[in-house]
Amino acid sequence: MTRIIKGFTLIEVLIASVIIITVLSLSAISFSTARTNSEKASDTLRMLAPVPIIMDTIREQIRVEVRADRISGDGALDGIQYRWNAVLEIAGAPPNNFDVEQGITIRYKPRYKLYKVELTLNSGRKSELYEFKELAWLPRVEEIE
Amino acid sequence: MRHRGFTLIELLIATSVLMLLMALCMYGYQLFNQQWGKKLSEFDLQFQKFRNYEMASNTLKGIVPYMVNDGESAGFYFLGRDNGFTAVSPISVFSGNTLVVFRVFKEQNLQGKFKLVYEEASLKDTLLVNANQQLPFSKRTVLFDNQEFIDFRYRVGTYVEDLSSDSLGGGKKYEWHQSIDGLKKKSHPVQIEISLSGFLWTFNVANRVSALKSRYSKSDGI
Repeated sequence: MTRIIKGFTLIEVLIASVIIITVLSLSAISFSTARTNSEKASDTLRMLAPVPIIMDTIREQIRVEVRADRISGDGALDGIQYRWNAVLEIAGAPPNNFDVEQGITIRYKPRYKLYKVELTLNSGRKSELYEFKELAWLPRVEEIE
Repeated sequence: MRHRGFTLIELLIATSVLMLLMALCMYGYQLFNQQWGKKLSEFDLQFQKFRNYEMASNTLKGIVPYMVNDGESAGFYFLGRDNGFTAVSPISVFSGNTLVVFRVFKEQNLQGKFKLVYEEASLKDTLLVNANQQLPFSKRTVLFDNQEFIDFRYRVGTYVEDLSSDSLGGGKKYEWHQSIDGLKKKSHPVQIEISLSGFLWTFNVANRVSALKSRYSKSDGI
């Protein structure tokens, strides 16, 4: 007794191919995201690597030019161009001090300055903006007229 | 109902098709892996650089005046030249928070440009007492490569008779020098500047010179 071998119906074939295609495309997507992610990560690292050194330089320059309310500068390090602008946010004095012996309150002149620094990094294909704050002390009070 | 098995031909065709598919998949996967490997190694390189910058800037910011014996007298273990300097820091690039003697200097690369090289010798198991002690500079890394020029400057304070010229630091005059020998001059720079093709990388040194000197002269008296 023989039976005619039945082929697949259209529906079966369609379902099977849909399943196969989904699996394939999912795996392809995960592979390609892995690749682009590692590329993005190394790009970001390339941008970020010289930032600590650049920030040190900015801090140094702000401390030197602390009398100015607006300080800016630019330069390049290791293939990364940078440009920064520092704008004075707060110029403050230490809190008043009550002298118990003499019974008077000592008020201080403004001693420190808080700057808001905007740092733009440029690596040719990517550009990034960072913001941070930097504090600098004015020279000794006696030296300010 | 009796199932008929596969014929030899069918089996052969099926396996060869499968083999072909497998081979194709393997090839594709290998291609992908190769490319990804390249990307990953680039990432590793960048990360190495990132870490180097971070660690080296910590080490350089941590420079401390360190006194050693130099024959009859004592001086600071710092030697600065126009092509690099040697100093002591409690923060290390390679071995965490251990005292290290390190040197940073420029070297010419094959393209005729300059690279900034960092070398360190750990003082974990050795005590640095004498200036002429031999130290193993075993760890080495390149911080910056392909620089047009690299220059070094050191800001050194010297006592001056005329105090009216510069009131900063009470009688001390600070000047930039191309070179300084901490052993002979008995002083330590307060600021070091490395110019990387125009980018000025500056760092300050904690000023403990007078404190250390007074301690040393006291113990000399005993």
